[in-house]
Amino acid sequence: MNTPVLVVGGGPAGLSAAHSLASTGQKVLLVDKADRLGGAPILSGYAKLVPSGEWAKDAIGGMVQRIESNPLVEIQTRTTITEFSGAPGAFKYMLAGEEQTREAGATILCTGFSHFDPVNKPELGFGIFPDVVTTTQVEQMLSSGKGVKCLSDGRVPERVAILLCVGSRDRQIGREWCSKICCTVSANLAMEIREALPQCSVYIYYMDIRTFGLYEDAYYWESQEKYRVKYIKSRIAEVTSDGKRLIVKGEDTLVKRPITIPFDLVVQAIGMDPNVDNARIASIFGVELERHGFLQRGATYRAMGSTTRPGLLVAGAASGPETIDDSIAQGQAAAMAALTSLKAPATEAA
Amino acid sequence: MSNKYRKVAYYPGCALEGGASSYNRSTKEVGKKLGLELVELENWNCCGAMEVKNADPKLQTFLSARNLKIAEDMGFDTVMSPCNGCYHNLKKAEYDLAHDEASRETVKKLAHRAKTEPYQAGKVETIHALDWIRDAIGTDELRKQVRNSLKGLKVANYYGCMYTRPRHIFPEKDQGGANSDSTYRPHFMDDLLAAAGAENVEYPLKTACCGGAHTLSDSDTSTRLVLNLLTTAEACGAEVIATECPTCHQGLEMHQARAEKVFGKKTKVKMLYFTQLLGMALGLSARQVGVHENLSDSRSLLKEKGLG
Amino acid sequence: MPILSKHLIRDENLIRNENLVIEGVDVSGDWSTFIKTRVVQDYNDSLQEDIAALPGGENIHRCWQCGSCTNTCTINALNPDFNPRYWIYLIRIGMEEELIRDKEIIWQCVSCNKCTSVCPRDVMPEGVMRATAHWLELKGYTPESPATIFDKVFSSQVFAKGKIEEGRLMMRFFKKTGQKLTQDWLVGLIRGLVLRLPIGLLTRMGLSALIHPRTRDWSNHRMAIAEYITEQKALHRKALGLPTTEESR
Repeated sequence: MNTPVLVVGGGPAGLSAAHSLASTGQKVLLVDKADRLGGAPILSGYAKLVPSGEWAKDAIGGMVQRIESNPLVEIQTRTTITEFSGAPGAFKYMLAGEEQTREAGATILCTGFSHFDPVNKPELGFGIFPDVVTTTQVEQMLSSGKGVKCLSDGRVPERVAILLCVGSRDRQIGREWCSKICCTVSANLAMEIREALPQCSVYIYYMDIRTFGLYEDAYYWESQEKYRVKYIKSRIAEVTSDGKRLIVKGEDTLVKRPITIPFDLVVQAIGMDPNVDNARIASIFGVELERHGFLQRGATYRAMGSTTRPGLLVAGAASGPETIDDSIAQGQAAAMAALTSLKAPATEAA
Repeated sequence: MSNKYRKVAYYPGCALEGGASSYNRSTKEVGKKLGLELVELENWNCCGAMEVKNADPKLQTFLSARNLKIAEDMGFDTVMSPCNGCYHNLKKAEYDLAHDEASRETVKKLAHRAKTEPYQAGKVETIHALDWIRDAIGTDELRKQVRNSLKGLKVANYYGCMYTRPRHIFPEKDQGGANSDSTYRPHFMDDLLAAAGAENVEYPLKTACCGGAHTLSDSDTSTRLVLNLLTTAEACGAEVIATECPTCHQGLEMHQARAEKVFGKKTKVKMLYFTQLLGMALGLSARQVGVHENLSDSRSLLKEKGLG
Repeated sequence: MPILSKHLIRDENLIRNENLVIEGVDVSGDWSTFIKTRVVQDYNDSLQEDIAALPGGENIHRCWQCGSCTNTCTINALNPDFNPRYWIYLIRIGMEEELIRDKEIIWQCVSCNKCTSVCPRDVMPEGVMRATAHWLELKGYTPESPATIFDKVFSSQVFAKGKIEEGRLMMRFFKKTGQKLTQDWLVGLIRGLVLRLPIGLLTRMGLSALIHPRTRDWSNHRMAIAEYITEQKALHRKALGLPTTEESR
């Protein structure tokens, strides 16, 4: 129990793994390349989380505080792992800028994801029109308390379009996965916008709605029944401008009619990409990536959180689009697997 | 200035040998003026244009691949085509041969029956005349060589369909930054003409379709599409539409005339190949870049602007 | 009840009774306009497979009806009835009768590839349009469209000589489609051009119209292509359940 477990990445999964390990008395070294802990919910300034409705800065911020005050957890921010070797029970690694090799009995990769960069879908106007924004930007508008406004002139929008599946489910740009959470997050954002701006109409353009599990009535139905958010089945091909407002062009496929609709604000529900550093992560840690570029999981049922390298564990969105609460659960599961491997390395090495 | 593309294989294609002789002439003259060497493919054949794929797409791959093989056999690793159709088809053949087993098999079978060796993907890079001048000379060097600036000439840059779509056959595009062209808002021609002094207007229909595939078989559709391109260019303040595709260029010329005759809609904007504009900026005369060979007559505007 | 939005209903689905009394009230004429109940009688299970068997149609089964193709379509912007998304739906479900209603316009796709560039599932809608137009012709629902005739005239020149010559191409196309060889709008253009051109260039152009440009040693290619085309034609007709021996229309 004396050699710290290495946890790479201080987002929801990493925070949860570190906390679980430390609560059993296990020492942890938590490394993050950013200047502070919290991962995407904190660094990108998310607003209210699905499904708890708590503010990200309270919920995830609370997890950060809990870790920062735990004497068993050593925190190294603004750093990365430069070398990694060894076998389960006796890994050796080096931190950037250090000359001394460190040791770890087990390692958990919680390296998360990157937001899809919508400049890769230029036809949808991001980077060309200031009032085309991402879901992340709207989260920031809400979480900063500044409110939802048009970035061009600061006016309050009267009509907002949310485009789903931007950077997800698209062969043309090599993103063949569903990012899992954007439908629910978008329904949630739509409701938040309607609550803050009751005069503002919100339209969601979709191919399918995937508010899976218990999110169906809590988000999809609620957004329509209580908040009167309108859902239009159409994948928008182009966002242009008439000089005053944005013009969303498409076909309303259910009525087989072309539509050319003016909007004040167009929000792109951007997907979850593999972490942009995944190629480097894979080569340093000697793990494989699956075909989309996320970390390849090892056994699906036998060992929670295994990668293709024995003793090296993964949790959260590093291995595929994931919700915050499931990332936290996976962090705990990986912590359990790490402890098991420390106690009985021979049986768990497989 | 780099050594890249200073000597490349040249694939003019049928259009440049025929009605678009001015594009052929101006491309060669500009190359000569800039000290770039073009070596024409020996005994090339039609790339398949937009029509052969409708008979059978793999035949188009076969026809285009034959030209790539000629370039390879002549010892070149780069072939340049100024024609969007040829450029597109060679790119598409390259993509299909690299990614599609059925295309590889068919090309192999056909080459075998024709008693030739099949082309294999990865041997020859296809570039457009825009890539050629931009990468071999660059905008900075071009700016230095301008003798007769296009200053005051308002230009709409029109790229059409085949230079940008479908995007997967152009893996080098959309990589971000100034050195990779965009399939949505291409800018290579804008860059070159700006370096030559032209005043580029903001033209939203850069990659819209001119209806070139049906220019004769569905003329009304083509005329409507072209008329939209022309009136928009005029609304954007353009005096000239710069082109880089013989099919688009001739489509614009023909349907400008047809719009006037058949629809009674007259437009004044002129059409010139970008190589003609560049050539005149480099000090060549209008005649040297074949302005008189264009179907439409733009000499009065050039005179007014003191060009050529 | 009078139908206010008659323009939304196809003529053949409107029923109008000249003499009709319902519960003692005379509702003849306009008052008696009804909409015929429209029922799809049957699905053609093989329609999707038919299209998939023709070049360009291979990926039609991937479509999930997002509408990107129609949203971005050049021709749809001119004519909202030109709707690739809708036609792909009809083909996939097998609603042949509905598809055939639009048989006169399907060939008008200009191959701008906007749809293929934007399709999230890589259905290649441009290819599907081509395959569908081809299918309509093979099945005898439409005569060869002007576009098909142009493609054939063009391709046959390429296959025979290796290169094309535009003047001859145009003339042959106008002749095959029964159009005037001297299209008024073209004549003006060409006259202007001839006046500007120097004699030498004119002679050269005249010569190229007389002596067809060609690729040397092309006969092996010509034969290889002809053999391949015959094979493919037979394959396509077989896939559609058409007699393979019959000359292609």
